[in-house]
Formats: sequence, structure tokens, C-alpha cells
Amino acid sequence: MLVNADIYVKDVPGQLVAALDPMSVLNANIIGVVHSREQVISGRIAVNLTFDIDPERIDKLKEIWKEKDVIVVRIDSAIDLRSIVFMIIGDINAVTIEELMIAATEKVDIQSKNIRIYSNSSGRNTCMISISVKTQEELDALDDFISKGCEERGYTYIRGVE
Amino acid sequence: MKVFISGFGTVGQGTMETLIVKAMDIERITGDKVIITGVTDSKSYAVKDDGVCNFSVLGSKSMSGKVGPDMKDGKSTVDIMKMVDFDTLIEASPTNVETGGEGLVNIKWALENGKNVITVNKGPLALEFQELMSLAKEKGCILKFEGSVGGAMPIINLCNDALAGQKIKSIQGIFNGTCNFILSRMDSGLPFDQALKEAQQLGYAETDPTNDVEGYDSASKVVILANSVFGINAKFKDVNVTGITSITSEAISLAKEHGMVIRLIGEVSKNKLEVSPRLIPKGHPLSISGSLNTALINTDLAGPVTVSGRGAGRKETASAILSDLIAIMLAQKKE
Ligand SMILES: NC(=O)c1ccc[n+]([C@@H]2O[C@H](COP(=O)([O-])OP(=O)(O)OC[C@H]3O[C@@H](n4cnc5c(N)ncnc54)[C@H](OP(=O)(O)O)[C@@H]3O)[C@@H](O)[C@H]2O)c1
Repeated sequence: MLVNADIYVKDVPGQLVAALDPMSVLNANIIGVVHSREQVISGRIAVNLTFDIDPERIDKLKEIWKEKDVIVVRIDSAIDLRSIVFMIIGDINAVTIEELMIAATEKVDIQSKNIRIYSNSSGRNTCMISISVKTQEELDALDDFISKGCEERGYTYIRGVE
Repeated sequence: MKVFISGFGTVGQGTMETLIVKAMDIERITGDKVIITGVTDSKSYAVKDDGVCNFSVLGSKSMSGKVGPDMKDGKSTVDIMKMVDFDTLIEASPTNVETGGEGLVNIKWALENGKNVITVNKGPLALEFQELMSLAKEKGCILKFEGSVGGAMPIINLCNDALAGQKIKSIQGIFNGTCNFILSRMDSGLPFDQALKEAQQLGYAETDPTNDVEGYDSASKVVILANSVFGINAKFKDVNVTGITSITSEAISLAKEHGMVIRLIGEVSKNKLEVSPRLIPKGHPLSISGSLNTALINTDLAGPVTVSGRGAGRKETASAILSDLIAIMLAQKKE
């Protein structure tokens, strides 16, 4: 997993190397190191790291850094999530949309979703959905799945433009 | 250059007026004159080998609804075309995307008989584009159709001439001014039915708006672009079409809340032929309001190129016919 972290190391020789040492032990692959000398706070410099690591080893890394007096300010996934925002109009309700979403989850790994449904007295309800996935392929597969699902059910599918 | 005009409504009359106004420019650019030797509408016709009197034809049409005293009385446009000498047919009769209508018959006859054709009638192109192009090639004639997509918006010549040599990856566009007008009015809070009524009152939408609001008109343009720019042998039935009739006021306000608008977008690429309502961020080139047409052409070298213009109108569509006619005259001068 690609990870990005902001850490603070003591501004003394050898400290940055000490912070990077555990990477090889944990079989992580360093992709980028940016340290800002101008950002010195209480005798520590800020370092931004990007590295590829087995997610199960992140806790161990944090433990080692703590032992080495490295302060971790932020550590999270560096993968850019891809989002799609779309609308569905038709004879829909919370249940029908939930069913469609469950079926979509079986196709792609949905990272986050946000659904809003608006009822209309004519029975043609409108739903706005935003979904995040990890890859463009998943996004295309999701788009294809929702498009076909809407066509089968007689709903109007309104998506964005790339 | 002798010309025959089939269909003498908004576009046919606009073309004759434009040819009168631009006569000197045409002669300066091409070194040749344009003489209209035949005109037909649904019921009447006017033909003369050395040129009809343009002013009498226009006057007669506005006074009596006929292009002259001669009635078709069961004669087809082909029968009339046979009566007179001409080099180029301007096909401006009504579009029929189911059968191609009389326009298709006229274009085939003209090409088979060695005449060039300029068509703004989309039906024949949406149904038999490749067949008509092959026929034109076989007979050594030119078939041009700039006004059939986007009226005055010069998209076909832009893609095939100005952007020649580049790979066009996709074209996304607003190809129907009526739908764009309706959706823009819905942005200001009008429900669909009222926005449609307003479009009809202002003359943007026809009494039977089906072709526009169901997306069929945009779909014909998608087919023409797929064939002429992407070289895909596509037909009308290959386009995935969704119109705008199901768009609710709630959908419009939800989009607005998120900084977006809904627009009917035609999309053409090697693997997609589609017309559907889409969510467009405000400020995006395709978020325009009003009755304009706009196209976003994605190219490999120039990146995105946007072109916009009036998609319909008397003078506007005639401008596209004029540019096709001048191109034909220049091409034939070279030969
Ligand atoms: N209007 C635009 O801005 C625009 C833009 C791009 C493309 N187009 C296309 O251009 C074409 C003409 O549009 P328009 O707006 O000029 O339509 P229009 O005003 O309705 O005029 C149609 C004309 O065709 C005549 N006609 C009907 N059946 C005919 C037949 N069988 N043979 C010969 N003439 C026939 C009509 O005769 P009567 O006068 O006797 O009724 C009328 O003169 C359509 O195919 C349209 O899709 C229009």
C-alpha cells in the first residue's frame, strides 16, 4: 500500500537516517523524502515521506519510530481516490437504491459513498450519489454497472463528464 | 455553378437570400457565379435553365406560400430535378430519421447523375452515410454537410481540415439548442413543461418537440460526426439515446447545490456513441446557457479545443451551406 506520512525528527546529524532505517527491515520501499529545513519546531525538522509498505507492518513501523523518538504527525494512504457523482431519476426509494448499491459493492471495492434521495409528488424521485473507489478501472466498471442497472429498471442515469 | 434548392422553408429561403447578398464575395473568391436554376417546396416548384428570378421566388413564397405558379401535382422532387440543368443540389427538406424521406431519394438521384450535394437534412446521413459517401466517390462528385451538425458552428471542417493530422480522441457537445434552452430555463426554476412551452412560444421548439427533447436530433448529429470524423460506419440505431423529458426540478436544484448544471450531451469516440443528460460543473465549456451549440474536441496534440456557435437559424445555417458551396466551387476550379 502506498503511504504518505509527515514526521518530525531531531535536527541533529544521523536522525533522518535513523528514521529511514526501519524501512528496509520492514521491507518497505521509499518513494519520496522531502525535508524542510525552514520548518524547524522545537529543534525538530519536518519530513514528508512517501513509501510502499505492507499495511500490516504500519503499526510495527510506528512502534519503531516511537522508540527512536520520531514524532508522527500524520500517516495515511497516499492513493488518490477516484470519485464519481451521479444522479438517478425514476420510481426509486431508499430500498431500491440500497439494493443497487449492494449489487455495486459486489462488483467494485467502494471506499466511501454518500446518498441523498428527494421525493416528488409525481412519483419520479431524484437521488444524488457520490462514490469513491481506488482505481480508474473500478470507476469505469461502476459507471458501466450503474448505467446498465438503470437501463434495466427504467431509471434515468445522469453522470458527469470526464 | 448551377444550383437546385430542395426545400424552401427557413433554410432554403435563407440560402437564396445569402446567395444574393454574398454574390460579389463568391465571385471574388471563386471566380464563378452561382445561378439557381431550380427550387421546390412541398407543393410547388420553379425551374429555368438560365436561372430563376430569385426575387420573384422569394416574393411569391412570402405572399402565397408557393415558390411560383407551377404546382407539383404528384410530381416528386426528382421529377422536377430532371426538368432542369444544375451542378449542385442543396437539400433542405425536412429531416426524417426513420426512412430518410424524400431527401434521401433526392440525394441518391443527384449523386447517381453526377451532381454535387450539400445537405443540411440529417436523415439521409444518419441512415446511409457510408453508402452516400461511396456513391459520391464512385461518381466523382462532392457531398458536403457542414450545416447538418451545429448549424453555423463549423465543427466538421474544423475536425477534418484545421485539425487534420491530429488524433481526435472524443467529441462531447451540446448539439441541440432547443434542449439547452429548456434546461437553462429550468436552471432558473421553471418546470420542464413550462420551459418547453416558452421554447415553443419563442420559436425554438417545434409544435411536436419529440425529435429535440427525446434526443433524436442530437443522436443524428452524433452519427454524422462518428462517420465523418471518426470513420465509424455508425447508424442512428447504434446511438444510446436518453432525452431530457425525465429531468425533474429536484434534479436541477440538487445539481445547482453542488455547483453543477444538467446539459444534454452528445458524445462520440471510437467506443462510445451516446446522447444523455450529464452533470456539468459550472464554468466548464459545456455548462453554457441559452440556445447555442458547443463542442469540446479532445485531440492528442492540441489538447481540448472548444467551438461554439448558433446551432440553427436562417442566416446561420445558410452560412454553413455557403462555406460548403464555396469549397465545392474551389475544388472544381482546381480540376
Ligand atoms: N432551421 C434550421 O436552423 C436548421 C439547422 C440545421 C439543419 N436544418 C435542417 O434543414 C432542413 C430544413 O429545415 P427548415 O428549418 O428550413 O424547415 P422548414 O422551415 O420546415 O422548411 C422545410 C421546407 O421543405 C419543404 N418540403 C416539405 N416536404 C418536401 C418535399 N417532399 N420536397 C421538397 N420540399 C419539401 C417545405 O415545403 P412547404 O414550404 O410547402 O411547407 C418547406 O419549404 C431540415 O432537414 C432541418 O433538419 C435546419
